[in-house]
Amino acid sequence: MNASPRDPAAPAVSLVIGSGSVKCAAAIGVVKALTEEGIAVERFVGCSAGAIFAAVLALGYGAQESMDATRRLWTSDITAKRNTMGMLRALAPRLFGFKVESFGLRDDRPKDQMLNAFFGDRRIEDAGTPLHITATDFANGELVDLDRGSIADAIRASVALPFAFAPVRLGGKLLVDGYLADPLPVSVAIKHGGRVIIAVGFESPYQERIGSAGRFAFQLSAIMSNNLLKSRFSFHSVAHHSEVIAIIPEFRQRIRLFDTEKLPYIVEEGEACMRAQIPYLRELLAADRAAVAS
Amino acid sequence: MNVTISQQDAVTVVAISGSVDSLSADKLTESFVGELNAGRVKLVADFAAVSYTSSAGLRSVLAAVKESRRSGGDLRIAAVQPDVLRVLSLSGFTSIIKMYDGVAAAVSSYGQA
Amino acid sequence: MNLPKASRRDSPGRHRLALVIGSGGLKCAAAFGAMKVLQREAIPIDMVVACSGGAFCGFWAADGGGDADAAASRFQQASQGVFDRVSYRGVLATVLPKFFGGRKNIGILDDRRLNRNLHDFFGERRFEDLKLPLHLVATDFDTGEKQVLSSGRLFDAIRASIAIPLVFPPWEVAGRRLVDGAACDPLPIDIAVREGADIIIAIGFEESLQTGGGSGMGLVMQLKTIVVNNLYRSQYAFYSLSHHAEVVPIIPEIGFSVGLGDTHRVPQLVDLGAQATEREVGYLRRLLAARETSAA
Repeated sequence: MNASPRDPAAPAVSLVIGSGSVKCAAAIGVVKALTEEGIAVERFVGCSAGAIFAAVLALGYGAQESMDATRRLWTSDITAKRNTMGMLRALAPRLFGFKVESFGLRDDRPKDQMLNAFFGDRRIEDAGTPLHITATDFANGELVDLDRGSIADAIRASVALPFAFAPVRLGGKLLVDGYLADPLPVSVAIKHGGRVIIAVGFESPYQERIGSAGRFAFQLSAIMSNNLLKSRFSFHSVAHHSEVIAIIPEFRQRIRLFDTEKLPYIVEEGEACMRAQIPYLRELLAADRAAVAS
Repeated sequence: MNVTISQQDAVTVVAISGSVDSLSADKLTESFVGELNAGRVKLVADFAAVSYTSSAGLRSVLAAVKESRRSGGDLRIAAVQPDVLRVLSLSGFTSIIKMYDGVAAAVSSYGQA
Repeated sequence: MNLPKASRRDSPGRHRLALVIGSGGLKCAAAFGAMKVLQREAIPIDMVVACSGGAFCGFWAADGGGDADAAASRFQQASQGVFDRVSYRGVLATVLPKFFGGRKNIGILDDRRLNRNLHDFFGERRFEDLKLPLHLVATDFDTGEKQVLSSGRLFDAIRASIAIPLVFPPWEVAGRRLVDGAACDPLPIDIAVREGADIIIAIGFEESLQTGGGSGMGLVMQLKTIVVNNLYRSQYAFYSLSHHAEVVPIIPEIGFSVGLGDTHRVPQLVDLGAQATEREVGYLRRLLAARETSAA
């Protein structure tokens, strides 16, 4: 961990990591490339699985440590246990009592234990670099920017994928997965004065065959969230005064939910995408400093 | 639409009244450009008396937000009326611009960050 | 609707005004109320774009309009009973696809009544028969992309545009499986921009959030509502900033939840649509007057 305070005159960017399951590990490669080029990250924003990587990186873990952390946090154990009661409630709500607060088809406990074991009682405001974790307010659909409080709790809310996991009550609000409000929440970086913003985003994969209501619902969710990703990104690109550099790794290998053995490959792809943009990023940072100095 | 400009400490308050739309956008843009060219980049737009906004009007406000940020400043919005707030929210402004209940809070926010 | 006779499309240098009506289920009845006010003000419309439930009023406006109240009550009648009939085969196909061949039939309501009502409404009429250009939006279910329907049989386009996923089965047009346009473009201002409009009147609706969420289906609907509302807002945000001219939003304030079966609410919705439009009339008048002067 390197907790040394950053030189305020050094070039820095805001890094936004969107939702995209284990593919979000590409952000580790992005930060590795930036660090080796002497470019700091002044603010991290993470959504859904991206929140896990934003937190790990904001706490100052290096590339290798972050990959080790991912292997500990991201195992199929977190969804392995079915919540039998959840299934019964979905099938016969009148008989078993359906409550949105506690509804999920998977048992939350293994995931919660994993997050608690790793992050302990560390808080967002204690991270070496400012950190924001986004979730969605289930009551009104709005984006919620969690910028203080327990890291483990905030991540639990940010990854509370409806149907799989139960929503999380935090600060009087019922929260679900951040991707429902914005799969790539660049707005948080803009609002907090981000200048050059690097946005690592992923499209949801489409179903190859749609043979059941579950897959139908997944397909629908992928369609809507991809359209939301595009339109939010279009808006942010038009609305931001400086540059939003999109890093959208295209993986040639298909990456499934728990493909942690592909972590080195995912990280390399992220690093390669970032390296390709470094010359442009350098020009931008120089121009940006000149504009502020003038 | 009318624009009144005043200084509060290091912050410039641009008080706007009436309708911010395509017929008044040029005038509003001129007011903002005047301040920005004079190096006054910490701006507060007082929306208390703004009765209406349309897309062309909002583009003028956004241009000022972007130009002030480029120069190391910001434009923050204060005292928006409910009808106008609905349009600002729909147009994504509330997600990218800092908003305050009153001018005093918006002005003092510059002292904190 | 009192459309001025000369086709505005043929007079260069004049503004081109588009009416865009977004998705919103039964709430789209409010668009008829909006049209009453636009007719009274003789606002000249050059093209119509609509999505999902907005397609009914969109069609009527592109067909030359007429008595808006009468049109609203026809809409009310056409909607009655459509959402009552659960398709048991559809439900079984949804829950146990392997046994009941779910691939094509996923949707829990019987769509026969809907198809019959739509057929009574549109018959064999085609886009090409309408007085004004009309563009309807649907979503390609396999690629997630927007499909703009501007020609061919109106019945097919409207059936596709309103195919609410999991409620009604998708509809196939020209070999593509299409569903509700709300899944990709709930308030399709972009189509009006692409078609060259420089003043766009956009009538939009947020979907009603479910309060209870007392079942798995309720949860699905709440999630869909959250994403569609966010999509609606973010697209509006982008289009209104990227458009070169002017978008005038008409957003009726509907203070109650409107379910698909609440057809008795139609007259009230028409009034709310008219009220929301009255708020924009002052600006619309000044805008059009300024354009006339600068064009002359």
